[in-house]
Amino acid sequence: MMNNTTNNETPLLEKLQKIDRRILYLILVIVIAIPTIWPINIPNAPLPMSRDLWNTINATPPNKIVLLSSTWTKNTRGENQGQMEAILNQLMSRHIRFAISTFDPRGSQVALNLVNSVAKKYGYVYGKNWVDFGYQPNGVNYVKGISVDLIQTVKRDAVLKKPLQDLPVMKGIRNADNIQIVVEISASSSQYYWIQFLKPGVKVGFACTSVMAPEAIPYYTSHQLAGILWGAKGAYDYEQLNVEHHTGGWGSGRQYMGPLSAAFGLVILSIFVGNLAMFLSRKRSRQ
Amino acid sequence: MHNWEIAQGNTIWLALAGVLLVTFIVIGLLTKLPLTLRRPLLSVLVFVSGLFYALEYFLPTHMVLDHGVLVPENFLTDLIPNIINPLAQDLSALLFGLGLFSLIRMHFNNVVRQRSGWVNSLALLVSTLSMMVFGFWSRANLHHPQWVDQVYHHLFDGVYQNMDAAMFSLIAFFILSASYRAFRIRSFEASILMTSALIVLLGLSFGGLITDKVPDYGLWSNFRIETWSSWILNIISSPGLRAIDFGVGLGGLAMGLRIWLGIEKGALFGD
Repeated sequence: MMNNTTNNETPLLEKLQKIDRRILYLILVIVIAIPTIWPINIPNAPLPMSRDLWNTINATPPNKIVLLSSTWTKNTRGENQGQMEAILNQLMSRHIRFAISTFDPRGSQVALNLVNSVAKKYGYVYGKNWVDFGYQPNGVNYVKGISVDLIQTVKRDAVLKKPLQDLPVMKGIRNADNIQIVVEISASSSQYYWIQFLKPGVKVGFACTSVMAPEAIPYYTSHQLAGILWGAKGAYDYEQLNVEHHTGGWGSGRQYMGPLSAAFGLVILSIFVGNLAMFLSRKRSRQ
Repeated sequence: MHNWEIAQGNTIWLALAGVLLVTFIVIGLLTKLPLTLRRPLLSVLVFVSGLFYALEYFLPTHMVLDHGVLVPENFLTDLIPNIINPLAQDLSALLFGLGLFSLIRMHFNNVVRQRSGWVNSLALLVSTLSMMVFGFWSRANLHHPQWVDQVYHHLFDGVYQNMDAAMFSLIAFFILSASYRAFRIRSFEASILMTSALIVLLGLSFGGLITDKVPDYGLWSNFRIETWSSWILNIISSPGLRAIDFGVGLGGLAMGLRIWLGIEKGALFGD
């Protein structure tokens, strides 16, 4: 009887250690699809780093602009799109002037699409309330250049191709001293351009994918970064802060938190199952 | 971006052709130079370029009133937006062009000689050229027909962006498969790693659900998963990463100095 039990259970333990990856893929699809179709709300407490970024942007005086460096494309829209949308909601609801630029040749169009869609909601006008500095292929020189003379470095906007000083949005804006904060929204480590080469004293924020956040934390604790938005959680944090202060509503940050949490839960479960099967299998083989 | 200044007139094509011609002549002459001359020439160019940034950064500055704003400057500072930045932008654009030329040449040869996988090369050529044509037409020329914009947006937003997102989303499947197969606790260190990873993972996702009833103030807040997650990240992970950054920084500085001074093997054509 004992032998039978052992013979029956051992294959099960071995099977649990070698589940076909196609079955895992199928489970993942189902686990992500369910909270996507029937959204669930995950309780959230905004991280201090998200709150710091929100507060810095919110404190923008009328004589300064915010510069959003949008170095992301649709491959990280799950994280970066929610972050940028939440920041744009705050900027536009507070009537803060802003500019966008990018270090990625594809990022320019992606950013324009998103800003245009949010701008319609708030009646933000291109050239008057916001401006596009376009794609900047040489990060170091761009950052060093705008630290000295923004108008001379960028020269013309990327949409109307007009001299920058002719646009109403640039009234009183000459160099980095007139920028409240630069927010690098990125899927890579492009925040280093700003940390290393931007004029000291100008604040820098970083809205990044989850995988990039840990290496940015030392710069936050040393106050070289004014705040960080940590992946989808950062987007959710920012939306929550916007809702609390009536500077925007819910968006993809909260929407994606359910599927993301479900996927994380599945990852944790799969690690647990794999290890449990390994321990039981080892124990049985020792016996 | 400063190239758009001449893009307003018809002189753009003449200017582009002129710049390309000069560039190819310079590159051609450079490749014809004997190695004994080429290396010192490039070393001097690299040294002077690096020296500019070093001097601009380290030389003392004085405050200058620029359009009502006090700006710390020395005699090199003004060169950055006026000369260095446009020059660097143009060099970057030229490098893009060289990369594109090399890519097209390689895949064009694949198609012409019908090497294995030539259909993929053909797809690449068609995609590249169509995106280039409609992209330039749509973005560089303000007076273009409406349908050009539509085709460009179909190609960029409809096709490219979605394919990009689909490719990236495949990572989720690989992460799940890898975490299931590879994340096994075989040692004490592995168990610490896994415990930390689980806490951080929970802190960034549904950890709030588990400790939602625990107050987020006073002593009680120490029992919330988000607090544990933040503690691991700020107290444990951050100093480690800072140490790595210091090492990388020192390595980068040493490598930068070697390239700048022309003593790095293989950095400037040959050993």
